[in-house]
Amino acid sequence: VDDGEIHGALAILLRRQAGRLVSALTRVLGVQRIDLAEDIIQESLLAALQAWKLGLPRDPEAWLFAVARNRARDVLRRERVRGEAEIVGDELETLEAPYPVDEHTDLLRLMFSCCHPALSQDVLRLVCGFGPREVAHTFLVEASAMEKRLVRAKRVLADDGRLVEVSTPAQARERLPAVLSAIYLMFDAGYHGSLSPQPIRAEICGDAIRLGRILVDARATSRPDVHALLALMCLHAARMPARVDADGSLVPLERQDRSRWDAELVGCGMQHLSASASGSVLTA
Amino acid sequence: MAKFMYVFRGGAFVQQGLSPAEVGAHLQKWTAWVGELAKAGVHESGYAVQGAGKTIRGTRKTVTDGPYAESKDMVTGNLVVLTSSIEEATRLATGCPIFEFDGSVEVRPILEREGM
Repeated sequence: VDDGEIHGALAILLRRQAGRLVSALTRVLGVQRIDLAEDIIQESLLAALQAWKLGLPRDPEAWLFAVARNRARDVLRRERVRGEAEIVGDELETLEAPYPVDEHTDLLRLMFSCCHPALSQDVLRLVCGFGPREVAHTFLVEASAMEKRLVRAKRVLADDGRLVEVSTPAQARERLPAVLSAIYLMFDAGYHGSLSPQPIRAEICGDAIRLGRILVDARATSRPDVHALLALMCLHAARMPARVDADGSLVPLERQDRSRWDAELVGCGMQHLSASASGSVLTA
Repeated sequence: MAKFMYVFRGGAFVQQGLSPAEVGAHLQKWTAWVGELAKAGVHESGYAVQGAGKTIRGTRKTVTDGPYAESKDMVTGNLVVLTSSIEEATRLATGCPIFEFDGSVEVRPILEREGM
């Protein structure tokens, strides 16, 4: 593994962990306090930045989770002492559980909760760890407008009182379309590079594909239309190595060097394409 | 060859409102920079420090909580390098990512006792 890979992995790790941590912490703190969860994660990230800048810990994920968990525990203890909150024992127990606590279940719950009919943009923020400015770029609105939307989104989540459960197809059905379009938006943001001066942000596309794979693997959401989206993303992503030339400008499809397409992703895409051709619903 | 200590002050660690992606990208630059120093064989040792702590001061040895300096002046770490001159040590320090977030690096020659 060369240095570049390690460094790239680090940024992606932090962004992904942020989503998992939000999910894990809201389980304990309650979804009403997603702001507090975000604050705790922010503090943990800064602590990580400070502690890791001169050398990485052996297991960065576990390190980050331990710091966030300790901070959450401190907050809960303080509140219990002041009598501000009724904390039941097993909530703290949840915090004691080793990490990862079934990563995918938590991520699914957070994704589906954020895909409230009104607020799919929160997926990018909470699940994928983008800042408000980056989300705003993706949705082509002013950062200040996005801040307002995010505040409203959190209020809606808080009104719901808890994260939605996603363990059966029936529970998933209503919000799945919103989840799928959020994932596609995210893929698109990476594919067209709307977040930065670089024309392509491969790691964002990679994250979107990762979320798609989680959906395909989960019993509740393994449906033809999910396979179709994943197939589309895999096939697009497979062409990415050939999409940019040495000067960093985009190469149109007919002039791309096809030998540079990612064969594994093409294979994946074709597999999901055939899995999508079942059932009786047609998607656009 | 001589030893120099970099004293880091302020930087991203004392900033508010960074997104996980920004923290990650910044951290990447630190590991890259420290990696380069290590590869060039000049890196000796280094520590990052936490924000909270104690300060002991004066002939009465009064102990107070925290450094509580202006956050931009807060010491956030140090690093010892082995280079041929202070000019070289200073040149290497200009590559430090701390400047992205308005931090500072002090380059100080380490006093070595004879025969050490």
